[in-house]
Amino acid sequence: MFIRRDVIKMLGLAGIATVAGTRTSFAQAYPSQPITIIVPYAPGATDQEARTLARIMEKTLKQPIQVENRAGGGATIGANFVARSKPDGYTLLYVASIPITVSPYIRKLPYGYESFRPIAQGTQGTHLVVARADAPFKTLAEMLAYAKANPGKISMGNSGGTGGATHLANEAMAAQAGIKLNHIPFEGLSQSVAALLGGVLDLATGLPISLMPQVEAGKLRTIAQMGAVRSPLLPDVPAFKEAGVDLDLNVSLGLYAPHDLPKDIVEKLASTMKEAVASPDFKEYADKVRTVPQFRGPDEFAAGIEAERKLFAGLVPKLNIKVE
Amino acid sequence: MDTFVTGALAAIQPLNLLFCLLGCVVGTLIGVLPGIGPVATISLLLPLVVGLDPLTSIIMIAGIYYGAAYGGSITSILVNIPGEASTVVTCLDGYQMAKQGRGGVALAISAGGSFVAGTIGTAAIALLAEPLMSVALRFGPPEYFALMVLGAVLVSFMARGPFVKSLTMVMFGLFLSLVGQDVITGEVRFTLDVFELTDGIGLVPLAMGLFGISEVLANIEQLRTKPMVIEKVTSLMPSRAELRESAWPIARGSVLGFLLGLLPGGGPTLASFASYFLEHRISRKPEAFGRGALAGVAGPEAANNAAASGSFIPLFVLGLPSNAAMALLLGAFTMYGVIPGPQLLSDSRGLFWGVIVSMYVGNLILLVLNLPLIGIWVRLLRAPYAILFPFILLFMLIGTYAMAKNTFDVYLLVGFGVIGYLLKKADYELAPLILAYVLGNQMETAFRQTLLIGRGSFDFLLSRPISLGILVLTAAVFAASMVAKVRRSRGTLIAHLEDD
Repeated sequence: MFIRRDVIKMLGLAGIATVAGTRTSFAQAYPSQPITIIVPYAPGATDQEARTLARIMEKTLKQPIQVENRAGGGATIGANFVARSKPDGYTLLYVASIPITVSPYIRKLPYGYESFRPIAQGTQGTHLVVARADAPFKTLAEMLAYAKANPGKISMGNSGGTGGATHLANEAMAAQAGIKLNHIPFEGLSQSVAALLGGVLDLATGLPISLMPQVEAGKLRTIAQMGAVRSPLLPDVPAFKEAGVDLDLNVSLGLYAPHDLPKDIVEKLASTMKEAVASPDFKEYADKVRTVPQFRGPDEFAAGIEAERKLFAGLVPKLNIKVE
Repeated sequence: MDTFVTGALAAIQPLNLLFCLLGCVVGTLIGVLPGIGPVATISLLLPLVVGLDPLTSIIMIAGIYYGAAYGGSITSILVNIPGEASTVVTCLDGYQMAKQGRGGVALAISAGGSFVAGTIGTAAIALLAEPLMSVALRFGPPEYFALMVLGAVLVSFMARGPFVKSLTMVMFGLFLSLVGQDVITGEVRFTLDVFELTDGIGLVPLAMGLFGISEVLANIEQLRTKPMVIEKVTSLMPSRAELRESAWPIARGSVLGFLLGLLPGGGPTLASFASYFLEHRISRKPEAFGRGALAGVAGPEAANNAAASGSFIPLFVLGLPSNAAMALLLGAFTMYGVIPGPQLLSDSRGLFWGVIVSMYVGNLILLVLNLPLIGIWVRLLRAPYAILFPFILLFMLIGTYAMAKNTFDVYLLVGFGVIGYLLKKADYELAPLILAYVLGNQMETAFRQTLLIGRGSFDFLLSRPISLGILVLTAAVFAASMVAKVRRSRGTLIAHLEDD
């Protein structure tokens, strides 16, 4: 009897201790438990980048960081998972910006632009416009002139279907330059590039890693890079602004959290990520996969995201996209 | 030639052999476990192997990829659970064979067929990679569409029962394939506002539910009424006649599978289904399909392995990954600073040959690994079903969840299990449903892409020699099948009259 009561008492004490433990750990310095970073794409480039950063960041944070792929729905399924999780800094999102800045406005989604808190940007990618080698134009200026003379005659492929990042970029370019393109949505970059190589398409957009091998082999020709200035990795490809297309459509990959993440945790994660992005290990990774490390802290990153949201908020109604 | 020798020697170094073996074992294992596929496994292992020599880690990743195709067929045959999407079609006849006590034969033919296909595929990559790829690039949306139409015609003549019933199943399958976000317009269709359905219904929960769960339900019902009906295992190894019977399906499956593996939108799943259509169409005993036809196992099993080899070509030659596993391999290559594509073949030929030779070695390892295991696998079936089925259910539930960590997939699995059970009770065939589902989505997208490129005109579809050729062939198959059907029904009619 005594024994039983003792046991119960001990269990009760243990319970209080646990509760107290959780409380103190809450007040304790973040992080006190493992962190999960969700990458809302199928395994490929983005999750490898996140894993590389995580390996460096966990040394500073002294907690393991797990990177998990939750693909689907044009990155919205994984993004929604993070939007709905607790804003405690233990569930984070590493993603390109379009699923946050544009997707909520053109589709019915359970989350919105405001559901996220941008923490920091990690890298900057460049969308590249390429043409088949025997296309009737060689430069952006020639392409624009050709498109003006033959409205809708140029077939341009995008990867990821309607409303995806490359589709929006293509539509933005067409709207800005005042040309009409024939858009052909494809499931992925492999399919659209194969169609381009096969001569079914005239133009396609994608990231350099999949396109440059073909360009270097003379099978595709670069027309422009969609950034405002030339990327250090593509010094020979003219940027949009040089040819009079006033757009900056770089792809920023960065870390996000649910909106209500406390400011001190945002700052801590951002400063850890700053170190990680600047580290030689990350530089080595970025060089290998031909991407540009580009750190931006919480405020600067949020401003960039907001600028992108505004750009597309102005463009989407003019674009050839059905808004639900 | 020098680079070939260097590559071959590198591939058979003890360390590389060890990692090849490791990849094959892991691949077979995750193939056996439903839901856990090569993509998830490779992405988990990738950070661990980046410290290794490039060739070593790529050998292992490749081993996991084609090993999974081997392992996936084991559960398809034994318990009607497709371990991988590419082995869904193996359920149709493989499981029937197991029920007839020929599970050992089905497993042996599947392993042997996969080996032959892997060998042919590897040789084809080595000899013909570049010329084949230039042909594959001629396959644009119009050609895909024509190919899907051919498939649809083949499906519609496959049914055994009343035409109305199989047509109902085809329509149901096509409808299911429409659920989710449309690639062309970005619109979300038929999701009933369930956010998780945005990406459509996955092939694995659908097939595992329709085949696996419904089979468990049917068996439990039978357990209550009569004892489990798995006939005595006759023999483990195929007889000479069975070897002869499967030789041509394996050869055809290898070639067809390899060619479909080359296409950027193709791959092992499509290849296995295509081979099943083909074997059914040219079989002298089409009525045996769905009831344990050996050709229905041999062809698709060869095809999915050949396609697994074939899908390396777009990556090696063009740097274009045709599926998620290849995208990961592309990632692994770039981590080593090697960019697949035209440069791989000119600058890193030693690496290229090393991988190719290791793939051949890997297929050999898989054969040696799998043949002795057949006896053990088949013995598993002797376990009382009351013990077996809770485990089968458990693995299906866990596997489905593990695939995308999505609870909704588990609901889908169970839901389709019940639907599959009811359909079976009402004598509806499940094969046309799943076949139509696989064709539906790609057919629609390709058709609309074709019309978009042709600006609404069909000229574009009909002016390309390959698409036109396939469509003419489709028309011929359709006409021949109609004639045969009319003749057969007239034959039965006359027989009826004579009986009376």
